[in-house]
Amino acid sequence: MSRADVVVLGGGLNGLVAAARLAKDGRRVTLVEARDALGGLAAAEEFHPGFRSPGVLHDTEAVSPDLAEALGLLRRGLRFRPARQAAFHGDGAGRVIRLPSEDDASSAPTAPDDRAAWSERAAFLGRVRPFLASILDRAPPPLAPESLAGWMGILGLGVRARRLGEADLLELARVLPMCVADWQNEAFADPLLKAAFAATALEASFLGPWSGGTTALLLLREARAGRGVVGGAPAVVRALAEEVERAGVEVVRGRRVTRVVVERGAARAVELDGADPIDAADVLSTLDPRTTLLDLIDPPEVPPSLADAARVYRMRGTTAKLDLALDGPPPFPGPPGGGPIALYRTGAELDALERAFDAAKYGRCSDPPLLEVHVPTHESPELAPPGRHVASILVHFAPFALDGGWSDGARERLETAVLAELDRHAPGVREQVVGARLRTPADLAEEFGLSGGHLHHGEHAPDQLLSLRPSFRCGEYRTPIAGLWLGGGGTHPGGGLSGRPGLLAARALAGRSGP
Amino acid sequence: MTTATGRETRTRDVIVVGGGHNGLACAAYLAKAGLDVLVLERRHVLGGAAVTEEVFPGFKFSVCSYVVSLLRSWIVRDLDLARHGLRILPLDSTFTPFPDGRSLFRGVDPAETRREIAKFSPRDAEVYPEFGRLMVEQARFVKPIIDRRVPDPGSLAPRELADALRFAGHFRSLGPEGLARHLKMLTMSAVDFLSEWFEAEQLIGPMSISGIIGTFLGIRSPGTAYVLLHHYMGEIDGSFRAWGLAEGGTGRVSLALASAARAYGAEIRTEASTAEVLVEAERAVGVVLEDGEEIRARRVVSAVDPRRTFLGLVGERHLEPEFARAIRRYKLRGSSGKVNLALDGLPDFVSRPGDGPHLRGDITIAPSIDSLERAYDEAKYGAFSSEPFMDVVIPSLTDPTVAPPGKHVMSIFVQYAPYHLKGGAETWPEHREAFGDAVLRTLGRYAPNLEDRVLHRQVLTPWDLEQEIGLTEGNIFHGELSLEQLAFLRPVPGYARYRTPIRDLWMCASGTHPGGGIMAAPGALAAREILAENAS
Repeated sequence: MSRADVVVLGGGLNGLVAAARLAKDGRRVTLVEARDALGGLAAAEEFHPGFRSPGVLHDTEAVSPDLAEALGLLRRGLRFRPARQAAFHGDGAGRVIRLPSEDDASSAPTAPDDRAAWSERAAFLGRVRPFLASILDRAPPPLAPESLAGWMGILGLGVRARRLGEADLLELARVLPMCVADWQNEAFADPLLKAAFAATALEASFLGPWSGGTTALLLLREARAGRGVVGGAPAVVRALAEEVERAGVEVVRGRRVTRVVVERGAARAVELDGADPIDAADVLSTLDPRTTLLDLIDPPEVPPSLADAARVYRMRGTTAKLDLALDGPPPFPGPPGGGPIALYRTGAELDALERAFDAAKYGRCSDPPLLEVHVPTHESPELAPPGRHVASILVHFAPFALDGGWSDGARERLETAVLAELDRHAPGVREQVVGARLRTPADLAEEFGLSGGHLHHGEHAPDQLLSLRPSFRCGEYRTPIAGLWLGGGGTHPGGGLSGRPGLLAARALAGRSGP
Repeated sequence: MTTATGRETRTRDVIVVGGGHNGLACAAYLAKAGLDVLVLERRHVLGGAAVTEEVFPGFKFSVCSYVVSLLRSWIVRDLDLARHGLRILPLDSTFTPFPDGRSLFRGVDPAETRREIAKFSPRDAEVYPEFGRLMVEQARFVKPIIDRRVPDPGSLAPRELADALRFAGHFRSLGPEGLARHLKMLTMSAVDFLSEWFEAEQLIGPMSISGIIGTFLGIRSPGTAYVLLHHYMGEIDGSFRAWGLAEGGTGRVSLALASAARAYGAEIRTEASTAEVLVEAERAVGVVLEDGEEIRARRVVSAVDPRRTFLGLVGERHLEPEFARAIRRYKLRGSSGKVNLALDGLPDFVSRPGDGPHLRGDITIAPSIDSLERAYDEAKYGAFSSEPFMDVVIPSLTDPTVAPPGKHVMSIFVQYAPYHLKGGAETWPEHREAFGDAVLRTLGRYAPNLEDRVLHRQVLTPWDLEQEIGLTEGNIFHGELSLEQLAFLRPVPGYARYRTPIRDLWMCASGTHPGGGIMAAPGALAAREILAENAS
C-alpha cells in the first residue's frame, strides 16, 4: 500500500489544478484518473482518423489569467487570446448577428434603439462585473460563519456590495431573480438579439428563458468571461499536465476509484480497480458530489442528512455532444464584418428556446435542438488534416432521462435532427461530413462518470450556487467526513472550464493545517 | 362641506382613491387617528376585487376574490371588525379528484389525511406531518416580514442599518439548516422543492399549486416554492382564522372595513370615479373626478395598482423618466380567470359520490404535474389552458346566506387565462364563452352531473377584470408576485414604503409590500407610514 498526503480524485481541469496547487505547497499528492487521458471533459480526443475534438466542453473563457499565472501555466506557453472570440447567433433563415461585446464597439447592435439599450446594459455589466467576479474568485461566504475568516468573508461581501452604490445594488437585486426573457424584453426589440443573449444563460441547465433566475446565470457567465485560451481546452490541459508532473504529483491513469475508505467518520484511504489502495491523510474529490458521496463511500459511513442532500441535489443532464469531421469549413452565411465563424448558436427567438426546453420537461428531445457550434480548426488547424475542419457541437435539450431510454433508434433520431438543424443554418454542411461521433447524456455519464450525465456536475440554479453548492453541509469544500473534500464542478463557483473550484478547494484544504 | 351644487369646498386631510379592501383599511386607520378622510370608489359597490354581488337573483357571488387569505389578526382587532359584521367561516380541507377515479382528501383529522396520502405513497404519508411542522417553523420566521415595512438595503442611514442587522439576526437565528432551506425555498420551483420530500405526484401536484396562484409561472418555474409558506402561515395566527370564507361573501370583509372607517369618521363615496390626481409644484394636492369635480386634499393615497396610479391618474408628465420606465416595466400580466356558477344542486364527484365534507373545503383540479405544466405551456404562448388548473369552492355549503334554500353557488378560480392572448387582449370577449366551456368540460370530467345543475354562469376573463374591476391587465395581485417585485423591490426599487416620488402621494394597495390577497396589510402599513410622517 502506498501513501500520500492528499489523494486527488479525477484528472479533469479541477483535479489537475488542485493537485498542482497542493504539490506546489509541499504536499505529497497522488492524482487518480479513471481514463487513460488526463483532462476529463477538456481532453482532446481523436474521434475520427486524423480529426480531434477539442474536448466535450470547448469554451475556455472561464479560465482566468490570474489562475494561469498562479499555477505557472504561462511559463508552459499558455497564451490568452488578444480579444474575446466573436460569437454569432443565427435564425436559420439566413440572418446572422454577432453578439455585442463590451470590448468591441463595432459589435454593437445595428438598430438605434437596441444600440442605445446595449450601451446602457454594457455600462451596467461593466460596473457590476468586478463585484460578481469577486464572488466567483473566492470561496463562497459561509451560511453560518464559525470562524473569524467566515465573518470577514461575509463582511467583505457586504462592503463590496455597498461599493456598487445604491442604484446598481438595487438594480442587481431586481434583475438577478428575473427570467432572462423578461430581462431581454425590457431592453431590446430584435427577437434574434434577445434569443442570442438568452441562449448563453441556458447552457447545461434544466431551465428555459422564461424560468426565474436565468438572468443570474447570464450575469454569472458574463462576470467570468475572459478572452479564452489560444488552442482551447487541450492547450490548458497540456500546460496543466506538465505543471502537475513538474510539481512531483504521482499520476495514476486508467484506474477507476472503487471506494473511499471511511472509518470512524474520517477518510483514510482510496481503493482502486486493479491497483493497490492508497493511504491518505486527505482525499479531495473532483468527481461529482453524488458519485463521491453515494457511490464511493460505504453508506453507513455517510451521515444520513448528507446522503439526503446528495440525493436531492439536481443533476438532470440535458446536453449531448456531437463531433463532426468536415471536409471544409461549415458554410454559415457570411457573418457581419466578414471572417470565419468559430462560434455559432441557434434559436431564432425566445419562444423557440422555451419550446426547446418544454420538450425536456416531458422527457423528449427538443425539435429542433438548440446548437452551440464551435469550429476550433479556424484557430487550431492541427486538429484536422490540412484544409479540413472539426465542428464541436453542444446539443440542447437532450434529456438524460429520455422517455423510452437512449436506444439506438433514439440516438439516430437525435443525430439526424442535429444534422438537419445544422444544415438549415449552414446549407450544404451535411455533404461535408466525413465522420461523426455522438455522445448522449447517457454516454457522457458512462464515459466520464457523470451522475445524470450532467456536464456541470449539477445544475446551475440559484439554489445550487455559492455555499448551497452542492449543499450547505459541504458548501465550503469541506464535508462532514473528516479529511474528505469536494472540489469539482459540483462546488462553488460551479461547472465549466474554470479550474476555480479545484483551486479554491485546494486552498481550503491547505488552509486547514497550513501548507 | 359641500356647496349647493354638491361640490366639495373643504380641503381634506386625505383622499383615498379606490374603495378596495386595502383602501378601506388604510382609510379606517387614518380616520381612527383623527384625520379627515374621503374614500372615492368608482363602482356602485365597495370592495374592489373583494366584493359580493348578487349577480343572479338570490345568488350572492364573491365575484373575484373568494377566500380570505392571511387577513392579519391585528388589523381585525385594531379595527374591531367583528363588531362591524365580519365573521370568518372554516375552509379547512382540500379535496383533489383524479382522472383515474381515485381522489385525495386532506382535512383537519391527521389520521384521515395520513390514510388518504398512504393510498398513493405510504412513505409520503409518514413524511407529511414532519413537512408541515418544518414549514410552520419556517413560516414563523417569515411572518414578521408581512407585518411590517421592509428594510431598505440601499440605505446607509443608521436606523436602516440597524433594521437590516435586525433582519440578518432574525434569519441567522434559523441556524444553517433553516437558512439553507429558506434560501432554497426562495429560489426553487414548487415541484423541485416538494420532490425533495415527496414521491407521489398526486400529492406534489395539488400541493404545488399554491405557488402559482395569480402568477404567470408554472409549478416547475423557479421561485414558486416560496408561496407554499403562506399556507402554513395561517396556522401560526392561532385562534384567529387567517384563511377561510367570509360569511356573506368576500365583500363582507370590505363592508366591515368600510363600516369601521365610517365609524371613525371617514366619508366614503361610491360612483365617484377619479380621473386625475392633481399635481401642483410636484406635490399631490387633490383629485379631479370624471365629472369634472375637483376635490382638494393635503394627501392623496392611491389604492389602485401602480401602473394605473402613475401612468393613468398622475400622468407621465409629472414623472422622472427613470421612474416612469420602472413603472412601465412593472409586470402585471394577469393569468387567471373566474367562473361563478348558480347551481340547483350539488356536484357529484365520480371519485367520491354524494355529499360530504369533501365538498365543504377547497376542491382542487390538479390531475398531474405534467398536466399542470402543460396548462402553463399553453399560456406562455398566448392561449388559455384547454384543461386548466382550478380551485373550486362551494360557499353555500358553509354559508347558507349566499344562495336560496336547496340551491348553491360555486366559485371556480381558473388558471391559466393569460391577459395577452395571441390575438391581443381585446379579443377576449370573443373567447369568453369558449373559456367558460373549457372550464365546465374539464370539471365535468370529474363531476359529470355538474353541467345539468347549472342555472346561471358568470365568466370573468382577465380582460373583464380589467374593464369591470379596474385591475390592470387583469392581475389579481396588482402586479406579479415574483421575487423581483417583492419586498424592497415592490413595486419599484426605492419606493417600497408606500411613498412615491411625488410628495404627498402615497400607495396603499396590493402593488406594495407585502402584496396581494385579502390581507389588508398594505393598507394598514401604509397608514402607519403616513401617520408617522404626519406626526413628525
